[in-house]
Amino acid sequence: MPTQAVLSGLRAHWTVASDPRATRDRRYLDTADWRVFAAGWTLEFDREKGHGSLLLRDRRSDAVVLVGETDGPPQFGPDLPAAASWARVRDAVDTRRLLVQAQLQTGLRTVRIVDGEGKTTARVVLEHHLAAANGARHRLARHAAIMPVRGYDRVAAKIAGLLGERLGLAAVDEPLLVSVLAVLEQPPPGSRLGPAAPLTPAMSAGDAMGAVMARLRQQLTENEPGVRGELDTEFLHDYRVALRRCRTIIRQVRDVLPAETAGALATELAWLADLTGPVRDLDVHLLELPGGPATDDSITPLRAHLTLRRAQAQAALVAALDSPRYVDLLELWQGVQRPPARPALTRAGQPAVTRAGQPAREVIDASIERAYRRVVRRGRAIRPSTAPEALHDLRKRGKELRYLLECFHHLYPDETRAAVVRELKALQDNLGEFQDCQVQAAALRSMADELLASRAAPAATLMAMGRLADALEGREARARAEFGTRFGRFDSPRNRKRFEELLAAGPADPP
Amino acid sequence: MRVIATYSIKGGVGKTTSAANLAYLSALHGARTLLWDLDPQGAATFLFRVKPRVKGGGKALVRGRTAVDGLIRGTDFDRLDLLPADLSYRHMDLHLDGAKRPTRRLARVLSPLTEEYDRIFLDCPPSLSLVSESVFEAASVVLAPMIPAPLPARTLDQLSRFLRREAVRRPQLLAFFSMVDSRRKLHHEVVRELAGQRPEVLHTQIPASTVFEQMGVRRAPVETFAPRSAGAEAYRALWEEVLSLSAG
Repeated sequence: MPTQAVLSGLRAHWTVASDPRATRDRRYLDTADWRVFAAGWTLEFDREKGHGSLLLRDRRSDAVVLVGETDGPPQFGPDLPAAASWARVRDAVDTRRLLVQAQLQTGLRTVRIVDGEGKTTARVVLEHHLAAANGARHRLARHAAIMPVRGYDRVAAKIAGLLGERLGLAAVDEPLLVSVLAVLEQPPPGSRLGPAAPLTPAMSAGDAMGAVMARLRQQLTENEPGVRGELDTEFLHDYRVALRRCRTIIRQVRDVLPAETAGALATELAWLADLTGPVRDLDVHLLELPGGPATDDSITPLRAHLTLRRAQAQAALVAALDSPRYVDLLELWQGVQRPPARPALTRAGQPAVTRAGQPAREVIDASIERAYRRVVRRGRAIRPSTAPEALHDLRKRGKELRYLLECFHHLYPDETRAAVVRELKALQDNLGEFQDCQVQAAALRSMADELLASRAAPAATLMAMGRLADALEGREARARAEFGTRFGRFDSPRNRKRFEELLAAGPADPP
Repeated sequence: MRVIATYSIKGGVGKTTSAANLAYLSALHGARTLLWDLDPQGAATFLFRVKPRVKGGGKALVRGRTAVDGLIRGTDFDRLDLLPADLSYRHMDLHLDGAKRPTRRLARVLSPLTEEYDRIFLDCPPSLSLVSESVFEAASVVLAPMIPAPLPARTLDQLSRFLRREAVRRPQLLAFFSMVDSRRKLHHEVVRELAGQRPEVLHTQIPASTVFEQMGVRRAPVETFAPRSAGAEAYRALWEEVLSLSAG
């Protein structure tokens, strides 16, 4: 962009004043899954003259929405400015860690259009940017940003006309962050990797299964650094979801993968899942503890106890991730993604019966139908007196059904699938609340025994733990009372019809 | 949204200087800030180089016939906007008097701006009138500059009593000395008599300084052109004290 041409163009029409040239270093912060961006903003941390500032911008217009002061880049929601206006940003970030997604160095030259009173009526900021991420640096095209001043919008509109029509500059209609990521050859913000591989109706079951398994492996490995580095609790959560999804489709989509490999992979995935379980359970305990400045001191020993146990479980998990067994597991997983050129032989030397060559819809339809019938059958068998284990089991079966619907969602029409998933999710939420509360209350009571035996906590802590357990049991009872209604909705004639439609529908349009 | 009014019965005590400098500091520290220049003389409007004109005049504004949104002007400073003065504000009392629930009118004008601004400053004309009553109804804090002349305690008592008895919302009253000349014995005595003796009188004092006269020439807050001056330092201290006592 010819800077001189812009300046001459502006001077020909207005009185122009220039501010001293400046440079800015900014870091774009967002969670690993771009929650700030998804909420409609971009968040920048700028360091200037020894103090830091945070700028929240509208992601479409790049206009500054909020400004805050901070010593260093905030890491979690509570590190954001305490002002009430930042509450919605804190809510969006939730428990996730804010990571530096990209860095940008900008050279700025601001020219101001002034009126007869010497009042600034618009600004034009001439910018050249240098983007950096993972050691790479790239220059962006030069920008001229028109900054309107409220109440003087006509001036800004005239400048836009001048720069566009007379000087032939192209308007940029994407946020700066999007351009920055593009030049760094990184995926655009918000392009969160879903579980569904881009499947087409023409695919064979073997190819579809391979594509989904590859996607799940990618999800797992993307979350691994966050799990190892303990960046936030969601990395492990997402890591475990990828694991569970993979285990589900191996179990539920039958006769597609070579039986021996599938069996071996299932065993290894179960090993890994067992190692991640304790860390996640302790994460949930810690997240559920009352927090904030008003926290009761009596739960401090409990928090310390949980933190210690979590550190032990995390160390065991990291040791497993460092082991050759884990490397072998990932290799095995990758091998499964490539469908074999010819059917494997059984031990008897006969070609194994495989459905890998059949159309994907045919095979997945059968799996979904089987999973659905199982949920209905087991749900109907539950009475008010049924033992809680039956509800836990129903939750697992519900998860299997949901994972199948999600992983292969491109094979089904969107609307019907979404409606079916919505109803299933409502049921799952209820079962999840019931189980989580029960497990946590039981764990609290057993930890109280441990603490009492080791005399590691005063009576006040044990009493506080009792109160927490009581509260959890109250929630558990409410969830149990609601189960009938929730399951009734899932098992309603209307929802049954939806499932029939889903399986009867023709293949979805290719994604 | 907090509404802070700078108010005094007397003129020439540093209301506009205080409103302009404090509003600037508020915006500088990240708060989206609006300054409404209610004084028909339009000194704050002049300081920020905006034309003292409100489309439709004060009457249409307080009677709800003009949307306030379209009247706001951005200043030369980030996050600081101005609602300009207009000569018609000299009849504001009459405009309010003819309206229903006159003392609620200013608060109603500001109500659509709740989400948009973190703080609104009201620079009030010197008087005790329907306009001031309407200001007291809209404001959560009344900042009252006092010059160290005789009888400041009496003036403060009057204002304090008025706010207690008449103002429905009972805004918090915070008074401070301005234009203090440390070389004058009288100033010393008056300040000593009140500062530290009454909870509503702030510790920070704004000195008499030529730097404030310069504001009219430079047409900008002192922080922007003389940040190291005693005047700028005093306003920074005053702002911190106000924030610490008024919860923002």
